[in-house]
Amino acid sequence: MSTDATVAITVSFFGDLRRYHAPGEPGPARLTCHAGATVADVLRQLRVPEATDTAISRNGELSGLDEVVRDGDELIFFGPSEGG
Amino acid sequence: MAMGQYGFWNKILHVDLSRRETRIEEPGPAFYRHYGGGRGFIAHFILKYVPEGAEPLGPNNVLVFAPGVVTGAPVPGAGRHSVGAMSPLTGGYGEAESGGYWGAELKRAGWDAIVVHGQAETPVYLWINGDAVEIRDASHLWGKVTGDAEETIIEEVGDSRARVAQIGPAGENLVRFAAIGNDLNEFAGRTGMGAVMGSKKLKAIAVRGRTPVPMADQKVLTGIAKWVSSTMEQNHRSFHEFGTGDNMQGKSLQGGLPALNYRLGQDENVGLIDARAIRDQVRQEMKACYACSVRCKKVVRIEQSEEDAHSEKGERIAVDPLGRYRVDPKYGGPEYESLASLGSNLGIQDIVAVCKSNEICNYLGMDTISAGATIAFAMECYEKGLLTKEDTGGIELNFHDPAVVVQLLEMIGHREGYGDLLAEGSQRVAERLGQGSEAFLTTVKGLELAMHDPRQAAGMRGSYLLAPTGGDHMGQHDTKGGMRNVVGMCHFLRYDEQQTLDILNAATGWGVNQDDYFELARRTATLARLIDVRSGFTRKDDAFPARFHEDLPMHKGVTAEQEAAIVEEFYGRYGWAIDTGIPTRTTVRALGIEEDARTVAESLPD
Repeated sequence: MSTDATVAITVSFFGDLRRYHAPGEPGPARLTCHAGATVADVLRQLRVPEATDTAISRNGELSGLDEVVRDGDELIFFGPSEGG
Repeated sequence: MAMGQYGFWNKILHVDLSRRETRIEEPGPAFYRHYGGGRGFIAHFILKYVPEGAEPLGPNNVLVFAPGVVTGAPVPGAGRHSVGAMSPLTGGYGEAESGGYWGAELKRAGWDAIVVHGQAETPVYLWINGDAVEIRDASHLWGKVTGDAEETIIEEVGDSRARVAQIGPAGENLVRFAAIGNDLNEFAGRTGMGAVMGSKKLKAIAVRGRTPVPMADQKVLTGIAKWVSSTMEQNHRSFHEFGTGDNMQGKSLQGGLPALNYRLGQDENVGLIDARAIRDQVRQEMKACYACSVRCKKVVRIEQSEEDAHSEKGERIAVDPLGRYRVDPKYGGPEYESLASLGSNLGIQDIVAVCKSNEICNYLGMDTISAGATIAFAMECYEKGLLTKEDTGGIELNFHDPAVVVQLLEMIGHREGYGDLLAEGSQRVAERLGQGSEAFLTTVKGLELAMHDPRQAAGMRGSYLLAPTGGDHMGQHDTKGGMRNVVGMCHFLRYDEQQTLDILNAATGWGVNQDDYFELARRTATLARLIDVRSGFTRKDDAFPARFHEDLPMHKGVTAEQEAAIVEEFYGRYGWAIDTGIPTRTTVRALGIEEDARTVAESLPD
């Protein structure tokens, strides 16, 4: 696969979703995905269930699942808030 | 102990402080199966002993310390207990839940609950050493902050492993949102249970137990405990590493973060005070509750100067860069609710000040949510000119000013100056102030909402509208959350429905199924509802205040139609009359609570 067919991004999980980081890895994780991949594709690639309740930050801005990720993007997936 | 009796001792301690007498009730196994613990016990004893119209801060209220049948089981999440009474804040059913070790210790001492009646003439504390119960003088403890009081009590009882539940000066001073703390860093915070304890002149209950509660199936519990510890990364990683408050930036991005009295929904600098900032800057360690490997409790330590920032172990200790505050680690650290209520909702982005505010609430014994929300309400009144410096004794109640918050919290806890009025809670302040100030309230049934904005967090709407305690986030109204409160299990453990039932059955041997569990939820929620009905609450009180009908920048206000849909669906599911929200006679009969409902029987619809 040529390099122009992929994009390199970083992904972080916060809150309850931290469990989707590899054990022992605090994040952010580097990830390569295919050019044209959406935020939803990224979640699928990371085996996060589709119905997961998450707020998504893409480069610091609120993002939807259907946004296409670009090379160098920083994605953060936040879980729902806990009380306490 | 009778054969086949697991998860409880069949022993409830009644303490009459007016007469300085104690007695033991042995209600029998059916009682435990019927009421479960927590809310079930509390509502039962309120309906049994508290006359209609009794003053919550008077001698006729009872204060019930109620673990559940799971509390004390050797499994993560089983360290919870509830405390309940008629609430001096809402005037209705009052209850709050707490973690730590105290509830499990009470069970290990051989007691399933404590019901405190009457009022002592002079301050007292209880010392429960297994079977032995003493009412001791506490005159010398009155006025002490919680840390000092606990130190003295532990010394007096001569057992460093005793656990102490207690009030601070806020409870003594009848602050209407005073809390009952245990283990110094855990709080039954909501609805003013600390004020009820203060009205009884009961400073503390120290307890020491040595006998594990018998369990029906130890193997199942051991298996689940192992599952929690061996799957920490997959299931409880965030709680384990950060505790609560790791999602605040996400909540802000979504536009649902309480900011400046619930007006903005966002604070782009919230990363300065979230759980990651706590970990990176001021956290000393994480601590656990009873039997729990998740260890989600933050402990923060801050010194005023570099000279003081030396530790015995050579670890790095945070220093207030402005040299203002010291924060003592014995009071734990702020949870999400406190980070938001004492931080973002007041426009405070100063992590040291937020930790100091949290510590003050902990050593004075106050609910951080109601304290912060009441201050936020007053600050908006000040901003709008409804309050002036003349009213506040010269204090400028400006958002974004941490020094004012720290000052006000001390004044509230001691009922000094303007703090005396704020100690009444925001709804009473609004009633006193008038001038349309109720538009800035964030209360349901008089209880300030927790820090989850119902305009963004739609899943919280039901809890706020229908919890018998008012604007409570603890899911008192629903099967899952409400039931965990009843049996004494923590919400944070990611047990699925089957595991939850397995724990309950392994603790009790009852063999209950999902339907039984749901019936227990309906029974205990209906009991609490009867108390609210008796207290004068009606369907119109199952509603949000004006603030939450207004739009946020990113979210529409909750509409009356949306409220009605939630409320009516719930009434229908619980067997309460759709038009009034009053439990029907049929429901009361089906749930087997006719005797509990006898004082309200005439007002129940068919």
